[in-house]
Order: sequence, then C-alpha cells, then structure tokens
Amino acid sequence: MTVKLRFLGSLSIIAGSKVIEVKLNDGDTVLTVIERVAKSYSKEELMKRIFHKGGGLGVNLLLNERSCHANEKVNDKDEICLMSPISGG
Amino acid sequence: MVYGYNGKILKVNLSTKEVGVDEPDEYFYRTYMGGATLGAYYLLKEMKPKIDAFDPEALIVFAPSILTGTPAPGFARHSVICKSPLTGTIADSQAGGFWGPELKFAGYDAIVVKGRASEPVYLWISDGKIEIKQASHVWGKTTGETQNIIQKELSDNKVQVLTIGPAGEKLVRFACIISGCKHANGRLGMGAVMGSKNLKAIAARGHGGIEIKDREIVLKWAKEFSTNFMDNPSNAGLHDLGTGEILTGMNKDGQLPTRNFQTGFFEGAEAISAETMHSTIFQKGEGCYACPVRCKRVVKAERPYQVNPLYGGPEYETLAALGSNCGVSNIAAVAKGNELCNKYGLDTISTGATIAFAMECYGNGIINQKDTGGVELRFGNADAMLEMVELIAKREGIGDILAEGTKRAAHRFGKGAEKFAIQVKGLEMGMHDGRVKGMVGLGYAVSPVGADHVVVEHDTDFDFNAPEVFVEQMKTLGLLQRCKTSGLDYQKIRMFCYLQFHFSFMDSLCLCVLAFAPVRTFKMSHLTDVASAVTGWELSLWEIMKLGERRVNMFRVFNGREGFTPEDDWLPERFFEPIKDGPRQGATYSRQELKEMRDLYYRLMNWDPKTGVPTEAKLIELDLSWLV
Repeated sequence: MTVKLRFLGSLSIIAGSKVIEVKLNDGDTVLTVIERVAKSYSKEELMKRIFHKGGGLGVNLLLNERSCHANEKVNDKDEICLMSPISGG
Repeated sequence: MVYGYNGKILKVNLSTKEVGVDEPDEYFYRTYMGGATLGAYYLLKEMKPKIDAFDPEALIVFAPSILTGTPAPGFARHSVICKSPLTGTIADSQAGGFWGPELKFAGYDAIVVKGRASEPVYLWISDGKIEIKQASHVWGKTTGETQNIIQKELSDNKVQVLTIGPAGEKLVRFACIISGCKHANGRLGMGAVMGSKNLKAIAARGHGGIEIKDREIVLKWAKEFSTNFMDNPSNAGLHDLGTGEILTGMNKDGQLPTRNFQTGFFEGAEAISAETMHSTIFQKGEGCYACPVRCKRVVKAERPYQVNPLYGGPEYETLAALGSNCGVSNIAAVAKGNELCNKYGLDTISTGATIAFAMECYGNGIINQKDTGGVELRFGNADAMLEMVELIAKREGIGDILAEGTKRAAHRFGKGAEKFAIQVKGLEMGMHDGRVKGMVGLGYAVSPVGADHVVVEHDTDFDFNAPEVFVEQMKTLGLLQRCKTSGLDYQKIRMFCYLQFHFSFMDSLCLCVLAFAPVRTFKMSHLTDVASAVTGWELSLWEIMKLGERRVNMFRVFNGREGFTPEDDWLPERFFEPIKDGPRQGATYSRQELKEMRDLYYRLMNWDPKTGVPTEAKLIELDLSWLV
C-alpha cells in the first residue's frame, strides 16, 4: 500500500521532484507520513519549510484535493499535497 | 526637529502653474500619518463632491508615509489617491519599488496635484526644488521610453520616474501608473486621471536622508528580518518563486479563477505556474528599497513571444488574470501580456478580467467577429488575449469599448452581458474567489473602492487547517480562534473588522502586506518598535489600528457624499452561482447570508444601516469631527 506525496510551488524545487511515492503503514495519518519522509530525507531546507521552527507545520495540506488537517487518516492510493500557504496580497 | 517626515507637502496647480508647500504640524502627521489616509484628508478637504474624476478641479495625491524610506524591509511603498474614473468611488492604490523613498529623500512627504496643464508636462522634484517641465516629447511614449528619455535629459540614471503610458493618455479607465518600469499603482484608473491633467510623469531625486529618532533600533529589526525571513513559510516561498508561488496550490484546491470565474480549476495551470516560469523564462528576482525578500520577477523570452525583461515579470494576480481567467496556458504569452500592460500602463487585473468578460460574451454570442475586428475571441486563444491588450491600450476597435471597464462595456453590449461582468462598484475582481474565501467575498462587497482583494488577510490563513504560526501571530489583535474557510458567521465578521483595520493601517503607513504579521515575518510588536524608533512617538498597536479604522471611515464618508448606498455593497451574480466543477464544486455565496452579514458589519462599524455612512459618534470617536 502506498500514498503519493506531491510537492507544489517552491517545495517542489527544493525537493527536486514534484511527487514521490511513500509506503503506507497501518494507522498512518497525513502527519506520520510527512514525518517519516522527513526523517529519510537529506534536504534540511525542505524540512525547515515543512516544519516551522516555532512549532507545527508551515505548509497547507490537501488530501485527495481537499483541504485537510494533519491528523487525518490516510488510505491506500491517497494523494497528499504539500504547498505554501495560500495568502492574499 | 521632526523625525520620519520632512514636514512639507508639495501642492501643484497645473492650470495656473502655481506651486506651494503645506507645512502641517505634528498633530496632522500623527493623526493621518501618510499614504491613503493623508490623501483622503486632502480629497475631503479640498475637492468638491460629485465632480467628474477627469474634471481639472479633481485632486490626485501621491503619498508615501512617515515611515517610508527608513532602512527596514517593507517600508518602501507609496500610495496614489484620487477619485476613480472606473468606479466613481475614492481610489487608493499602492506600489512598491524606489519612488516613494526617493520623494522623501527629495524633501517632500506628499504631492497634491490639481488642475490641467495646457500641454503635456512632467514634474521634476530634486532636493527640495520643483520644476514643471514640458513633456510633449514623451507624450505617446511607453513607460520604458519615458523613463529613459527623462533620465537622460536630467543626466542622472538614478532619477526615479513615475509615469503613465499611452493607456493613461488615452483615458483608459483602468490605466495604471508605473515607476521603475515595473512597479504599478495598478488599480482604479489613476493613470487616466494623470492623463486627464496632461501630467505625464513625476521624476524625483534626493540626496537628503530621513531623520530617525533611534536608528539603532530600526537597524536591529532590519537585521532581524534579513536573518530570519526564510523561516517564515510565506516569505520563503515569495523569495523563491514570487507571488506566483501560490498558483498551483490554489488550483489543486479548486480556487483558481478560471475562464471568467466560471470554475476554480484550470487544466493548464501547471503551464502558467511560477514553477514553469522559474524553469523557462525566469532571469532573476528583484526587490524594493531595503527589502531582502526580492519577490519581484524578471523574465525574458524570445519565442513564441519576445518578452523584454525591462518590464519585470508577472505576479500571481497577472498569471491568473491573463492566464487561467482567460483560459490561456502559455507562460510566454502571459509574460508578454504583462510586458504590454507595464509598457502601455494598464492594470493587469482589470485588463485580464475585462478580456475574460469579452471572451465569455463572445462565447455566448453577445459579440461576434464583426465586433472584434475578426479576432476569434475565445477562451484559451493567447494571440487574441494579446491583441485585446493592444486594442485596449490604444482604444482601437472593440478596445475602445473594453477600455471603459466591464461595467460600462456590459451596458454597451447589452443582451444580458451584465451577468458576465465580474465587478463590484465597477472595479474588476482580484484573482481570488470569494465563494471559497468568505471574508474575501465580503471584502469585495463592502470595500469602499470596489472588488479589492487586499482588504483583509485571507480566510485560508486562519482556517482549521492553517499553519499554527499564523494563528498565533493573529492573537495580538485579540483574534483567538480559527475560522471556517467559506461563508461567514458572527465570529468571522468580528475577525473581518479587525483584519480590515490592520490592512487599512498598512495602506496608510505604506507598508508591504508581504512583510508583516499576521502572516509574514515582522510581528506587530516589531512594527510598533520600528515606528516608535523612527518617529520618536510612543506608538501603540491601539493607535495604529485606530489609524486603519480612520482611513476606512474617511473613505466611506467620501463615497457617501458621492451618492453610494448599501445597494452598492453587493456581489456580482456569478458569486451566487455554485462553482461549476473541480475540488470546490458547489461552493457559493448566499444572498441572505451576505445581506445579514453586511448589515451586521455596518452595526459593528457604527455606520448608519440605511446609508452605510459613518455615524456622527463614530466620526467624533476617530477625531474626524470636521467631517460631521
């Protein structure tokens, strides 16, 4: 079982790829998938973007093209999108 | 000794060629502070109600603020304020770059212009001196040509030139003002107001500094910003990809305005994204005075469209307005459209929105190829989009009608074209869908200037899935709870009021919304520290929030005397239709909800619910009793 992790905007440039496939574990949430990728990823810059140094995530998340919370459960073939916050101005 | 400001406001009458200087006292500067609020003061004091925006007696004010030009990031902007020829409301549009600081260095805090010159002129302001110079030789020239000619004749390529292009001269109702070839006072047609006065440009150069009470504190926070801005989730993305950073995310989330706001999902989004721009035509990032973020893009292309880097590159609003909203999925074409708009002096948002409106009219048989001069004006036709930009700027063919903006053009076309005009009070909508972001929708409806997307920080930054850091930084304003994204409720109306005052004071102090809390690097406490250090006043967030409230109320008074009523605080019909498809399919605004929340907003603002105008008590509370 796998999920797709898609990077949008500047995250895709830092990650060096737009989408990666991640093996799914039982009980995985959006956050646990991201954290597992974070541990295995060598690019510190990317992790600094995803996890804000003040605590919590620094990105917006979509699960299957729907805004989601990090604690939502993920299933086989789901797609998680990580993107910079959609602010105005 | 005064700090932060010069104490001099230049006044120019182009009809009589008289030049004078106001020297207001500290009370004036601390009450109005600069930018839009200072401009509104002069419009309300010295301009007769209900005169046409192009009347020679109409005023146009160019105003940085008491903080502009100080060496901290985000303090580089200037405002232009006048009556809009597009909406008939008060108009306020901000630009970054270098012109605002240069005017301060040249010795003035603002310029108030009235009258109409008998022949084209430009103003040359240099180290306290002012000349009204002949400009027939640059009339008809593009913004880039004008800057080049003026800098050469003044023998100084560091002269900052603020100018209109041919669109302003032709009185296109959404003509903008450009400085440095790429920084736009974009919205509401103030370029046409300059054109109506035969005022081609204002050149500024100053060698003076700005007196700062405690420079060490200002430099400390400037260094803090420079060291840490990449830790801010939003500023980091702006640095890497510019404001276009958000486009692919908005599309994935189903909220990217597409084909005249018919849907929020564009199948060609990837092709016009900031990522694609970065890997194809991007040359470098540029910034404004004293700012390390450098969010401005510079692009260059040779084919299929030749794009001149002199005119910068497209921001998010332009990528969406000329791209997805016109169904165009070619990044070079969008960049070319951006170049043409900056070169001719056109607002990219209104230009794109007006072309998208015409495309939908064309698709529905309201206009045809005979009307368009043979152009197949269908969504997705990049060449047609570019041809329309040319025609609008030159007021040729159908461009002469489209140059009037969507509201007037719809009236001319008839046959039900009004339902395709996505505008409020005549101002075309920014590239954010209020059906998805409820506060943005309310902002479009009630903003004194029309469908402005920079009225409040957007709902998505504080919703139940937003980054914690934004919600934490918002708490300083007394806003402690997250909100739902779409729609409105009591909590969101309160949030809207406070966030509106916040954005409003930024327009008064000429601050960059891309540098400050609640979403960006500088926290509220940093702002009050820097503002106090610059001026020597002990400024609090309370006092600054009241400044923002003062600006909104002055704008409402102006509109009230022009005859605007609550009926004008409304949304276009499309916003009451559900989004057709994509991830946000079905999202819509309810008429009942909008009416109830608009009325509640009036009550919270202490405005007369029947007229939408501030009450006597509110004006007195804001030290505006002279407006009662």
